[in-house]
Amino acid sequence: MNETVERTNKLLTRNIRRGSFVTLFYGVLDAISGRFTFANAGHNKPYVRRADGTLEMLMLGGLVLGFIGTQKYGQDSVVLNPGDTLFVFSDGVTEAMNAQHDQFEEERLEELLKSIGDVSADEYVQTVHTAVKEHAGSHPQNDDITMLVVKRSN
Amino acid sequence: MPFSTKEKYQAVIIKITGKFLGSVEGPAFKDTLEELKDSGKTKVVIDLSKADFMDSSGIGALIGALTTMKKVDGDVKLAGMKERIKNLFLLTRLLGPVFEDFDTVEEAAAAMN
Repeated sequence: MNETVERTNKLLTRNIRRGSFVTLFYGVLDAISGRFTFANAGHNKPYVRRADGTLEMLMLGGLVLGFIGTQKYGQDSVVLNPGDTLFVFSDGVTEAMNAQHDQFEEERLEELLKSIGDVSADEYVQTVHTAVKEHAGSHPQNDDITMLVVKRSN
Repeated sequence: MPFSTKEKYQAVIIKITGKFLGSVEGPAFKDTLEELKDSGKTKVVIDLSKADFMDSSGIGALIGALTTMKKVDGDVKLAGMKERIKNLFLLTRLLGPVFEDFDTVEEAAAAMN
């Protein structure tokens, strides 16, 4: 897992345009056991919303890709139990701005994720997307808004 | 323009004010850095004490500045970062391996001389 990230970083460091960088969140889910193993290179830290509504942030971090070819990355894992939901997102979600340039922010996202009931993965995406668009109002979108939601069924 | 330049402490101080979005300010910022490089002014402190917000493209603009100056044996250091911007640098883990930050402009400039 972390070796994949390290090799990707090495390749990118050789080829990336000056001043650019890439964030990466990479994970593999064992669909039988529910164990999700992941590595993170500077990407927004994803959440696991447990079936009881509590929210956990996947804290493992790492340097963004494309700078130091020899950089080492760690890996961690978490078990998704029935009813748990993994929520991975891009910074376009939390950095979405309204006309006053106030961002959506992590705090707002966390409150929203906690308040979402026992809904499908698709409804998670729709609910967060709607909230982000409502927050931004008429202010033009300035970054991609990307979400990946995995829910382990009951 | 949300950034201004002045020379002090044997360095060029670029002060960023308010919101710094690389997608908006990036081209002018890059031009400024190229002009500084061409005139041999390659020790740069980015004063972030009045910067309220930066996005990932803003970080990209600062990385561009750093790589531009490093190529000619110069340097770019950061100073006076507020918590909100620091969190972005901590998330990307750029503080330490890539950028050095200091509490004050004077300390950042002194670290280069």
